[in-house]
Amino acid sequence: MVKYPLIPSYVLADAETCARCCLCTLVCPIYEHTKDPSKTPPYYSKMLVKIANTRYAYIPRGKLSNILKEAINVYYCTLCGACITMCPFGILTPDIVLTVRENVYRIFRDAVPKPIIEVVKSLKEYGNPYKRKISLKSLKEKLCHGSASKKKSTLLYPGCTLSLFSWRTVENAAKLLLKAGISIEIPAEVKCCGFPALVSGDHKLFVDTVKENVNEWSKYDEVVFLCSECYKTFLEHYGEGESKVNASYIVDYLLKLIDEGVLKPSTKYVGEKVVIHDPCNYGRWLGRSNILEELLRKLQIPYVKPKLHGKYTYCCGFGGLLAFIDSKLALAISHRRLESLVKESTTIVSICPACVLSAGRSLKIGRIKAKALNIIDLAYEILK
Amino acid sequence: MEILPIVSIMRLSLLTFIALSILRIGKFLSTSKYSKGVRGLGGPKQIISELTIRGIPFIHSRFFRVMPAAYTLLVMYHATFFAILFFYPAHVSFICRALGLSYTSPLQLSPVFWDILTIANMVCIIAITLRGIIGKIRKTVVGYFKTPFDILNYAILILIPLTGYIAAHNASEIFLNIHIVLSCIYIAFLPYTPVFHAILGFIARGIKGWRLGW
Repeated sequence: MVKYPLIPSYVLADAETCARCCLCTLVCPIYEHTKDPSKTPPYYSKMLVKIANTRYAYIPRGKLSNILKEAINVYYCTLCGACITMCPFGILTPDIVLTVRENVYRIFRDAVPKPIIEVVKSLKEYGNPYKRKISLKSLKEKLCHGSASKKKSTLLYPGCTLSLFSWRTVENAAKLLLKAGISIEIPAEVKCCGFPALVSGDHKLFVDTVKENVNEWSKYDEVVFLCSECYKTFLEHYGEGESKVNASYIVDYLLKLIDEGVLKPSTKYVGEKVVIHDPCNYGRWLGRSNILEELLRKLQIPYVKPKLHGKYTYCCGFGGLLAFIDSKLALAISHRRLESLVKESTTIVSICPACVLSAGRSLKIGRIKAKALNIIDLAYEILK
Repeated sequence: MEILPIVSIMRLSLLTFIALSILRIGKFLSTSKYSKGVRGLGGPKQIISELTIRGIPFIHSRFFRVMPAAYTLLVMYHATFFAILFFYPAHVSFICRALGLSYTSPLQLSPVFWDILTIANMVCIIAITLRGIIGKIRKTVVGYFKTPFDILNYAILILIPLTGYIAAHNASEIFLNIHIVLSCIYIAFLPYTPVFHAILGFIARGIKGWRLGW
């Protein structure tokens, strides 16, 4: 049976809008490091148009596999969206990339890179892309045992990256909310928000994950996300499911609690000024880089903004599963970002667990004397 | 006396333009089945998200900072193009004649002003074309002048203002007729030329808003 490409109309319209002016390549972190024109946003647009045209028999269907073989380059996009800020029309290249990946996965699975196949396999088996089971059972028993009889109204959703690589941050967030008198629940087994499935191109798996999550989350009065990427995925891609769940993000939640006077700074921050790293998901996609600054101001922590921040922030190299496909390239991008951050301060603060993880690894490998912190940990030290 | 029935040619080219536009835009709408999925926000949030992420076309502070020469060139080309197309008195009266309207250009300016605009427009399009030929990425990605269509496209884009400029300074009607015929051909096939991005940019946003709910 011939599998036809499936392309959302607005994404195709966007791809055909591209005038190939290539201004986006001036800010693309991938092009900056690879200098490969086939790994640039205009190339992805051209690719999607070619794939779409097979529906209308402009291109013989037999050629589709050849086109999709070339489309392998789209796995080298971090989906950071820097290109959008340079495009005269604001073309949403990440949507184009996701659509190409989805069609490659559907029609020509042999062309999908092996690491991506393994990620999907891991998502199906363990519910996360890291090929291992993530359990927060001990943390749940430690923190939620006393409130077993109470009505569980707030679910703390940590996301897989934070739970696996920085469970201490989850603990700190939970302690802060418990201190504020909020009855919380922590999932014993952490399941993915669906973003890796979406990014790998397995749309069916993503839809199933969304359904499962919405069913689970709608049982609670509210869900507090600890990961900015999970929260962005929820807001941008959960569609109708979004209206069924009352969700908020931990930084917004902490700000609300501080404003209401429920949480107050107990100690004063001692140390050098911190440099903020805005993740693409919050700084650019949701346009809300100001909340990190607001929290730092309320915690009376001196901070400095790097040259590229907010909407124009620079990628950490972790996005779009690039770290799974080409870890060296991801590391090089991360180094580039760290170079500019370390110039400002040796204490880097971010709200995205993936950015903190990526920065931490780069600092370690590059033997740079600096530290990357999650804002939750910093907030805990002052509010505990 | 007119050598060619230029008004009829213009009307025919406008009708062809409309028909081809429907065909090209209809292509996007035919992919609608899949676009509902679980993607997108829907509702007013979508519009806010669009504005936050995409911004207003051409207006990005970063654009000028990163590449001032290219930005100036592109803005100048687009500004002169639209100014000449929609405000040059001869164009306005001709378009109105083709559409059966009576209207005069609000900009009754000195011919020298229009000359300057036309020359600037020609310089910009030549510079943009050269940028495409010389630039490594654009050459690879876009494949400039790989097909006869590319050469034809840019040749017409340069010839239209050139013949128009000569026609404005020459009593002979040959250049005027060439200018009109070339323009009519370009307008007719515009939906399948790279210039259609000017319209597609807004259509892309429109379709997204419509599909995901306004």
